[in-house]
Amino acid sequence: MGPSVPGQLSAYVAYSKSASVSSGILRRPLSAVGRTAQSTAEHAGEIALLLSATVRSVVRLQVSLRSVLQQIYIMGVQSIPIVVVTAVLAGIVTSQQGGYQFQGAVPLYILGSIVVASVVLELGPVLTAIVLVGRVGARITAELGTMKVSEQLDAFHALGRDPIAILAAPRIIAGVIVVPVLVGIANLVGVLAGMVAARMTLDLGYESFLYGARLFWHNWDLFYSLTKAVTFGLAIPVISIHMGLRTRGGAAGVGRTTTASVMFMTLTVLILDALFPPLLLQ
Amino acid sequence: MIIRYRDLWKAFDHPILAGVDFGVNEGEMFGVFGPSGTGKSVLLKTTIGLIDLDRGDVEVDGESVYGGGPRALQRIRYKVGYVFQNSALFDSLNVYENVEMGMA
Ligand SMILES: Nc1ncnc2c1ncn2[C@@H]1O[C@H](COP(=O)(O)OP(=O)(O)OP(=O)(O)O)[C@@H](O)[C@H]1O
Ligand SMILES: [Mg+2]
Repeated sequence: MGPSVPGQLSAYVAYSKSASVSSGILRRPLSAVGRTAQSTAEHAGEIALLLSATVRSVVRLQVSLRSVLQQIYIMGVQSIPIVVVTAVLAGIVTSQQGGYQFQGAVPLYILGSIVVASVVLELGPVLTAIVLVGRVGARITAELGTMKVSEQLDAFHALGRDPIAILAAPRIIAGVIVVPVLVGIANLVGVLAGMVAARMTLDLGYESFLYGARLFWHNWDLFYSLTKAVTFGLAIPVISIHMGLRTRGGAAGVGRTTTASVMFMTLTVLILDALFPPLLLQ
Repeated sequence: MIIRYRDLWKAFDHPILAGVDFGVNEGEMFGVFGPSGTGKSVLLKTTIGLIDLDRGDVEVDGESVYGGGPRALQRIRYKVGYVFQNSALFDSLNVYENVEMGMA
């Protein structure tokens, strides 16, 4: 005998009605346009809600410092090796290709300025961001997406906890803090690598390289570089969290949203990057 | 009546809940049956406001789930024990942290 059942046993029978789908010739292209517009508006609205919920949880001091530090470690410290490798290669390539381009045409110390400008204005922030899209963004989407499809996010709500405060806010805060630091490291390492490469392959001494670098340096360039970094440091976690939260459809759904999220983040980084010169380099 | 579902309407891509209306008494064991994908989980989730309804409301212990504001909803969620279909344990947390998460 099983356990005794207190009270009566009742039942409610759920049933489904199939929806009727009608079709027409013009309907398909028109509804495709409509769907794209609708989904763009949905994304924008959801991202705005995510940001406001994050700000609210920060203001109400619901975000634990421990989670933020943990995310700083995962997103920042653990990314240092790949960021450094990327920056070294970018610095070397810029230095060598620049040297090839300007052979005999202009004094070679100009190379110092070219490497610094390329790395600090563009390659440092953008390559770092692209690397982080793969290393940090994809991970966040897959992680939150899995929690979504396994009902763990619902479980937070069921326990009266706010998943935005617990999961989203620490990642966004950590992103804004960590990416500028990583970009700073990438800038420094990239320039040093370019300097060493110029000396080894083009016989351009460090003194001359640095002379050239200083000749065209503006402090604004560093500000510009770090402003890019903060922007990307906000965009990557916000988009990856947003995509994770809207995951549906089991394991296949997690795969689908993670891919979509990586494309969304990469395009966003490149488009934001393209907006910087007209806005900040006038 | 301890839980009262009032005229629940919800459509995702197609209608799922269409005027669901019934109550469950204190001490009663109540079963909901139906083929997969007909909306049993969606219905249950409305009990603690995990699904945005198109129309209707749920009352738990005399309090409105959808009309009572965030504080009332929070009270209801602390009061109701909900077991998810796939257990929904926090698999990135250890056992202690899982239990801790459920303590206010
Ligand atoms: N968040 C959601 N967004 C879109 N559609 C959803 C969502 N949740 C459920 N659905 C859809 O609603 C329908 C009912 O789902 P539900 O999970 O309630 O079924 P179920 O009766 O519990 O099935 P099972 O017996 O397999 O557990 C399904 O078609 C499902 O795909
Ligand atoms: Mg179910």
